[in-house]
Amino acid sequence: MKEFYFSKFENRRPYKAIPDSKFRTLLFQSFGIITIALGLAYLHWRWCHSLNPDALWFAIPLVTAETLSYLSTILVVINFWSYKDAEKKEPVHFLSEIEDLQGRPDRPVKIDVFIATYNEDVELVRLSIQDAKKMIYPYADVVFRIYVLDDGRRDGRDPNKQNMKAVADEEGVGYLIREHNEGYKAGNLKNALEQTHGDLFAILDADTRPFPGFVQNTSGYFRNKKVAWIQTPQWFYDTTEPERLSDIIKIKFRLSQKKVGRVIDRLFGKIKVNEDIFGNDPRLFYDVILRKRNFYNAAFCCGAGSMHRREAVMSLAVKDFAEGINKLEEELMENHSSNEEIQSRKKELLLSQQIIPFKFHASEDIYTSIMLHADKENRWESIQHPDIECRMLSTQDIDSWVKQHQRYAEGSLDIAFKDNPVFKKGLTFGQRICYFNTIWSYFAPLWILVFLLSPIIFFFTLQLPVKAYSFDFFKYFLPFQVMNTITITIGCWGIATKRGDQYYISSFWFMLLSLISVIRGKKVKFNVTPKDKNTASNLQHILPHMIIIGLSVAGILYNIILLIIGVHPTPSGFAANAFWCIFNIIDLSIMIRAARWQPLDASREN
Amino acid sequence: MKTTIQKPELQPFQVSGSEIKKNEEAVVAIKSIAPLGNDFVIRDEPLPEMLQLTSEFSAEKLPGVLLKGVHYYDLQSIGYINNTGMAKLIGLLRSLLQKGVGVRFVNVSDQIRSKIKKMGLDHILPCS
Repeated sequence: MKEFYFSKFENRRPYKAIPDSKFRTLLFQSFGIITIALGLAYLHWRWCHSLNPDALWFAIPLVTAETLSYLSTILVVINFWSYKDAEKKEPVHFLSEIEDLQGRPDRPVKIDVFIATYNEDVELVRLSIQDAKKMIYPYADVVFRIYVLDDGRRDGRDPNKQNMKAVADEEGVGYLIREHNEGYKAGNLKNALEQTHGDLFAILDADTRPFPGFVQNTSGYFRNKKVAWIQTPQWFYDTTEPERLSDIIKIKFRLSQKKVGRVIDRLFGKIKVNEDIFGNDPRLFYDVILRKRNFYNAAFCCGAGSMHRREAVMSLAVKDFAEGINKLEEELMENHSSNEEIQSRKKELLLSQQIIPFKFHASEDIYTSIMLHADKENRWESIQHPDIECRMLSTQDIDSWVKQHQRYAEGSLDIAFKDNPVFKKGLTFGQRICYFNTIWSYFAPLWILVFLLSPIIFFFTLQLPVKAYSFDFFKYFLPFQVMNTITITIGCWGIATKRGDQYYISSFWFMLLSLISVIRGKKVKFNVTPKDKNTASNLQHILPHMIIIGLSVAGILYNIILLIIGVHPTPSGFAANAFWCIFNIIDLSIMIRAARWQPLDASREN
Repeated sequence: MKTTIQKPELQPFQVSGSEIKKNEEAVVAIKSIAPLGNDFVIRDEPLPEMLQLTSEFSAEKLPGVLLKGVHYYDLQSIGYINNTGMAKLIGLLRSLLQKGVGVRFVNVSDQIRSKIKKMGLDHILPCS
């Protein structure tokens, strides 16, 4: 096996899914309702009794931000309401178990495994192929056909590129290409579906390495003939390991003497930092957020690590195709066009339109999910399978990390603005709320920015957004905040949420840029000169954080001076804002630490 | 008030409209046809095996005859069609239209016809 940076993580094993607990669910539901009620009381008091009339320019944006953030709280309580894991069933053997035969002869199920690739290292893809070949299944006559879908067309025609076809041939798996890249990954899948015959198919990315039980543990769900797809959790086995603080200190300050080294070890040896420095662990998303959407049949597909029913995506493709042409015919008839014109226009559209199983869109996975959920006739169901059945690689530097998350943000926001699931016909109320929760989370930078800037504005203008930080304020604010924290803790029981919380705040800048670029319909670009790419591209992501931290610290120092002199108008206001500010600074700093992080081995060499 | 719109009777997508009447007669004569290379043979009995129009089914197996710029496909032996099969029929229609050849599906069973209608394809796939 070729040595990669992630080779040392080869033996890492995934976490076990949190077991459902009726008691915890009931506790969460009760506390959730109490939190929402307390929040309502708090906001009512804020709007009616607390605004500082002399600083409404400050007070109103802040209370608006709090209100928008409160809407998030309500959506989260609804999303997290309950687990409803689907009953696990035996792996399927025959077609009759997953489809209505309607007179057809029965036969063993056919299953395809698609590995989508474009420009990844072929030896990396080989690992995924080999793991796919190692998958087990209890029935020998159920054949898995593995196909590499190479959108890079690396079949040897370009001597400067690695040869993906050669690797596929060596491993004895199928190799499919097309002579264009229309529709990117969705188009790649469409091409594969035209050339294959599986009743079920798995989608894997180039770096997705399935565990042996991937198909065995998921095919059984398709016995429910309404199930259109299964999503398994995406687990990254290469997240950064925790490092001893003492090691970091020794390397940073180049302390090579043994005695000094021993002292540092004794003082700081037990403290571990930088675990999953990029906040890549998606456990909160898969094990809590998406899994709890099973309750509403609203768990959407996330691409890699999913299994699909061919007939479901094809029903979408055919219906969409028909709808386009039928709509045109109706329009033309309403305009009293002649028969000839109708026929000729229909023919034109028929020839230009394509049969598209997965929507051609940057976020084809969530968009296709919305369309399938909205199919009133078939009432398709989706399942988030709780156990990890595959492992993948995560981004290893802040620039790639930000770009990847920006793609998710822009894709989802684009759907929100052009084909909003909240208003989509056919979705249930629960599904609309869940999709809205996803979309709303991408608007978070609006209120996070207000929360980050408010203390700074106070420090420099000495104006309070509230009439006073009086007893009344804390009477409403504290119970709400405390209950909120307790409720979320119960909701996320068993999962470390520290990184998630930090990145929630720290992501404000790139999320804001994504929101702006989608609204403007234009991509915001930063021009970077090639030789400075590493430092400059990292700096662009953390400059706003550094500015805000700088201003916050300056503000605190300035206020301390005023306090010492004795001229500060509201010491209690300072205390509240300084306290709040410190949390903001800690959260913002994670992105700066991630941008400057290097693996310890690399630091040692420098 | 929405007026009910009378949809025109389905025409085959074909090159010349005046050939329709003549071709209808030819269609009635086709009971069952089987492909034989580039020529077509008219059989007396229908094909024995029930065919399923699903993903493994290749369009070449579909019995058909080309008459005066219209390609007729006999769906008599098709006992089952699924979504993938319908996508294949659409694909067939598109590829022939691109070559300037009309298409018509004949001897379509009621079961298949109702499936086609359910998917909204009854005004797209020309059936008789």
